[in-house]
Amino acid sequence: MDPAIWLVLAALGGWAALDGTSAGQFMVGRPLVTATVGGAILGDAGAGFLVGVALEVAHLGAVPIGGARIPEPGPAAIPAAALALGVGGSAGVVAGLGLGVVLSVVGGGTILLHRRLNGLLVSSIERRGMSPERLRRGIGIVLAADAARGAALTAGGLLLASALAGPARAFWPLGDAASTGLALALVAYPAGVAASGFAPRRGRLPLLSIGLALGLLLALGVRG
Amino acid sequence: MRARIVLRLFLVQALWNHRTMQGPGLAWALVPALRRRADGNREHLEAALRRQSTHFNAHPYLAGVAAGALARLEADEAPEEMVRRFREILRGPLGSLGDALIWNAWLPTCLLGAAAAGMAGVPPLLAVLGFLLVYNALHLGLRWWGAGIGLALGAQVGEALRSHALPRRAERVGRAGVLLLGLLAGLVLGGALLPEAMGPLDGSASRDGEAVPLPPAMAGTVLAVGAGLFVLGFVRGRGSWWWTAILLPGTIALVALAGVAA
Repeated sequence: MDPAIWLVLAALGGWAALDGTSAGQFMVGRPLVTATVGGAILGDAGAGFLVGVALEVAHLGAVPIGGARIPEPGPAAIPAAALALGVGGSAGVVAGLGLGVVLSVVGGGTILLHRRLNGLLVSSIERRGMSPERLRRGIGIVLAADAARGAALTAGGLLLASALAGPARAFWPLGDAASTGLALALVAYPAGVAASGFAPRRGRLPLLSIGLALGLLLALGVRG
Repeated sequence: MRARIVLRLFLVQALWNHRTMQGPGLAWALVPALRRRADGNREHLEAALRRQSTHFNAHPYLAGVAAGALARLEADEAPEEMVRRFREILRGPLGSLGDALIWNAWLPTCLLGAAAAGMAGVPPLLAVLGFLLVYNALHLGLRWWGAGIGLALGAQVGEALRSHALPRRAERVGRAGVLLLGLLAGLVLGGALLPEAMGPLDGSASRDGEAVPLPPAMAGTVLAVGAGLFVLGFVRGRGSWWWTAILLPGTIALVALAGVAA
């Protein structure tokens, strides 16, 4: 991979990490966004989009409520998109989904470490005296640390994706159809969990069924 | 004042930690209001910052309600005890309201809408841009509105929150999310079962660039396994370690066997 592209993708991962936790929360760090943009940078926005959709469905139920420990799929989606492009086809989507899930768990672990750093910094500010200047410096430090964390996670993930792409392409045991089937089956359980949390119990199944019917009709109608 | 508070609130989570949570971020957002009250007195300013940096947590988009109201209380020179109790009373509702409206309804609905749009033929980057624009319209509106009613109403802001019926709106948005989830599932299944329906994502299904249909045995297995897993997740309502340990390898094995049989 061109070093310039590698740097751009790492910077995208840093931005995703910042946006997800420390600054803004504009959702530019969602896997749908980072995987699609990452895929576009690497030459195939469509493949990145598919991996992003798969990772989103797998993480729809992972929301930052209170101090809950959750995975971090945003930066992880960039190496996932890279692996998907490297392997190609449905096999790539499955491989990308697998790598994305693993890296998002690792990312969630690094967030805990980052929060501990925040705690130490806040304690230090409290000891020395709470002032606007110390708060500003503290915020600057944690923003830099969070961006570096996300960039490092993404860069490491890209290295892993580069290493895995060749062997995965050569030794993938399933055909394209089976890989497509596997991708669908793997996101089905998290999709069910997510659907159970959206709306009041009454009326959920009919709405889901109506949506399913409309989706099938639309799929046939787009090309039919 | 409102604009300065709202801008600073984009960093309300910057110093998030398990002990004080958003406390320091909230204090940072209140600096302009606290400076005005302190009127040049450094000791008063630092005392006010210490008071406002204690434990606090709310949905980041609704933290402006608290910030605005606290800025108003500080400007009105409310007693310290009143400020402390007001912070405690407000954090629960601002957390649960925001979680219900945004994390459990608006965010997944917007994401699913973008995913469905992309699967239906909208160019992926355009679908993503649409998601960001639509999602952040409510996001930014909430931040601006929250700080505004907080500054205007101060300690009476709770009444305003109740009158806006946010939980009912969250339910409606959630219903749209369920519909979109079904729509996405239909688009994906339609694309997998009938490759000519894949739209501009044709070719992504196969490494050779040709769309590959699912053989009937495979399609049947995937539908059965997928539907079963979906219903299990829907009924259970939460993830678990045993999904990873048992269902995941089992799913892979079943689909692989179906692939071999096909």
